[in-house]
Amino acid sequence: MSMIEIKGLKKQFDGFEVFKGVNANIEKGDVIAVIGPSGTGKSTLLRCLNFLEKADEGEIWMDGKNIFDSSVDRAKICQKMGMVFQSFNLFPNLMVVENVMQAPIDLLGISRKEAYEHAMVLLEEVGMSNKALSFPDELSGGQKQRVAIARALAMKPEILLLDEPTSALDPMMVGEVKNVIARLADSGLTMMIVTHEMSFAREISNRTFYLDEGGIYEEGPTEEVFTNPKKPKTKAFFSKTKEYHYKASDVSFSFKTMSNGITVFGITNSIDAKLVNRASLICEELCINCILSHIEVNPIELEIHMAYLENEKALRISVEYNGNENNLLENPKVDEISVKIIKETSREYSFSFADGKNVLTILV
Amino acid sequence: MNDKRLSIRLLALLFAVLIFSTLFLSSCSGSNDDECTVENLPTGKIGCLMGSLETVFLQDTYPEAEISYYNSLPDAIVGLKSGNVDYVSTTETNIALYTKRIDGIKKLDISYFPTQEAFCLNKNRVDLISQINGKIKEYKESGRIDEISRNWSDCTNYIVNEVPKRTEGPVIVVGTTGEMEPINFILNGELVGFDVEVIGNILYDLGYQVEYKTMAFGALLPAIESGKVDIGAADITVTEERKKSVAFSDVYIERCQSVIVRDEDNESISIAAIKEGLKNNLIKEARYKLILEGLKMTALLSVTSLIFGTILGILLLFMKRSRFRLLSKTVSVYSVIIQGIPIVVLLMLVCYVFLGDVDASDIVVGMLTFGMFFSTGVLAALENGLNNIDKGQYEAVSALGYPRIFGFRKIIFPQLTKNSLPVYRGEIIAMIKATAIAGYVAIQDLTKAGDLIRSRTFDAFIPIIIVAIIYFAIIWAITLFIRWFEKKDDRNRRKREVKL
Ligand SMILES: Nc1ncnc2c1ncn2[C@@H]1O[C@H](COP(=O)(O)OP(=O)(O)O)[C@@H](O)[C@H]1O
Ligand SMILES: [Mg+2]
Repeated sequence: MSMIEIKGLKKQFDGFEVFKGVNANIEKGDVIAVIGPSGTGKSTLLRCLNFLEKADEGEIWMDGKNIFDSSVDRAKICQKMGMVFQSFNLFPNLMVVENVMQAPIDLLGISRKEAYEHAMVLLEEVGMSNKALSFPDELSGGQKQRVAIARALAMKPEILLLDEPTSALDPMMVGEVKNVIARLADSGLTMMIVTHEMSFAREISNRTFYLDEGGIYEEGPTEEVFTNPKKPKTKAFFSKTKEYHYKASDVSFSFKTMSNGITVFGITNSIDAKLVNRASLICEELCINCILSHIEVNPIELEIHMAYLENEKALRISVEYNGNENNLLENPKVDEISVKIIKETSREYSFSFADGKNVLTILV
Repeated sequence: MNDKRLSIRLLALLFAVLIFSTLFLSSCSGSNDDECTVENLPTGKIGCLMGSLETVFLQDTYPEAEISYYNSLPDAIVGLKSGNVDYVSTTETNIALYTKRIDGIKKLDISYFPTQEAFCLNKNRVDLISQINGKIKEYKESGRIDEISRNWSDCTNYIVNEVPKRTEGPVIVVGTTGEMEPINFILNGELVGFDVEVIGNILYDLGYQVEYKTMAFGALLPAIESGKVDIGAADITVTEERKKSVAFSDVYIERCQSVIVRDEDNESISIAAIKEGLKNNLIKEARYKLILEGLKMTALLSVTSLIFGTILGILLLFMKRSRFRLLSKTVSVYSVIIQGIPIVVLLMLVCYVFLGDVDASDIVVGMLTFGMFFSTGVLAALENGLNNIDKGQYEAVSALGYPRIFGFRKIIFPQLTKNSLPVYRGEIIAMIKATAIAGYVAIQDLTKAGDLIRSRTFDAFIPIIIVAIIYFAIIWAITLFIRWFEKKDDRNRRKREVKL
């Protein structure tokens, strides 16, 4: 029998139907990656499980009971499901160790001493035991999230729900949290994790739910969904995540859109933040010279393509633009400092020209 | 202008003639052998005692008159001296005293509008009225009234006779102002004066115990009507208007009105004068004792209101957050009402309406009023604290598996206390300042103590400044204390010790 069975789950917000009838099984030991474009209900799915949102219709069966039955003790169900939030939600008035031990004392009726010892074991596991007596506002984002994970684990949940646990973190902190989650996945704990980090999702999960169109659009073993998606939207989603395209023209150019796009691209592919920053810097320098300060009479339109080369752990940026042969890196009109920055931050660069089309390829 | 004067004169004359003819009056006992005649009133702003007869008289005879109402004559004189009014109209008895005591004012040679003074009673106390009337008659015939009047006629040398008191028998509550020298006033911490001596002796003769309550003149009639006070003895003039709400005893004395004005030639300000003023306002007749007692009352009011208001405020918060619409609606309505009426009016409502029939002590009246006032502030502080708690906190509590109320109590509430402290601090100070109006219903707090002193010394500034300084010191000390507490609380919270 499945550990959790979702049947015909429906949910709408002010007339907007998020779920038109979701069916799913969660087996003991599953690590399920919940992925999909934003606004498709990934968070809502987790939140319906532990009553943070009220489902409109449907059933969720757990331990032979429909948890929506009025006879079911909802608090008890919540205790069996740990939740890790994007924004940590640690209790600011309690020390780290108190954050972890409070709920077991209040809800499981164990002694303070026992709770403390258990909390210290958990903090050790997430690498936070040396901060046991700190307060949340004294911790970095990554540290807070590790404490939040320990807090959820302290209730000995049967399943852990994680809603974008690394999205609110500085790129530098993501790794430490992912390591903790990966270890938990290995330990056999049942988990459902919403994440935008595709390679991380692929690495730790055995099953993937792709959410779209009011429900679970495609579902299957992670390797299958990732390497061989069957339905059109899933295919489109994966191809989009593998490359980044940006057309920088005079009218539409916005620094913010471009650099955000590059950051998201970096996150979905779990690319080293330093690498992403460098690529972003190169694109910005090129755009400044070609569009904002006119080195030619008319601004030059750039088409930027970015792809991640996993084996080499490198980013390939190819910039295409029309016109006469014009190697931007050799052009004396291009700002000297810009050229210097680009050359120094890149690993390799090359230039080609054919049929009125310039292609500048930079490897970071 | 002449027209106006003429019509005033005519109307005043008419009024006077009416009174003369109906009451068979021949002379005014207070003023030698002169007859009370109606003269021109000077032009300008008039200061009057609130609810006093001159007010009605002036309104009727001189509708254009600009009248400022004062709670007590000392206040009016302070108003006169500081230029808020141009002259003060009052009885000749008062004027004799005030002009002798206070520099910088003088009597105008005008005498008008005779009045008759009687005791006021609740209309239901007919039995008492006839008993008192009997005694008034007896006192008048035996010349005792005149004798008592003489005792209080020389304000530089009062003859103070101890009024005999009974320790058993039914209790009669006598309401008076305590601010009308020489009719009823505080001397060496004791309530004395002409009225006090008369009514005290009458009630003694009749076998009653007497309990005095001092309050603003304007509050006297409502207090009698509501039964808080049995007899009003404060030089109250008999009028038809007043007869509608209260009953009067027979007349025990008659008086005439006159006016006082500023005497610009006779004013002085110097260091010596200030020194003298301080001595006069604090040391003489042990007046600092009044301040100390007032301070005690203010402290008591503040502390009881603080406790009551805080508990009530927390209760209100739970009611407001409850799932029952009726409860939360009730709280909203309560807040709107309490915040929507002036605190003075709230005080009167509590004193005369809610507790009108109950024999509640001053502390209870004050605690209820200021506690209710404070409770809405506590509610606001708590709600502000709650709003500052992130929604994610509730979600985390719920996701951990806490039942709703239990989780609120265990996790959210401890955060609330810290979040609410800054607003709470402000509300405490606002409440303490609000207690300054307690004197309006005869609660003798710090402000009232200042009033009482002023009523004896007629000093406009020193008592007010002393009171202001004390309030400031209290509030400053409390602010410091709460800041210290906040810091200490913060350090406690950051102790980094796990209780096991
Ligand atoms: N409390 C809410 N009120 C109204 N609409 C909401 C609420 N929560 C979520 N939604 C809507 O429901 C949809 C799904 O939201 P969500 O589950 O947060 O998406 P995801 O986590 O996949 O980005 C979104 O369109 C969002 O706007
Ligand atoms: Mg989400």
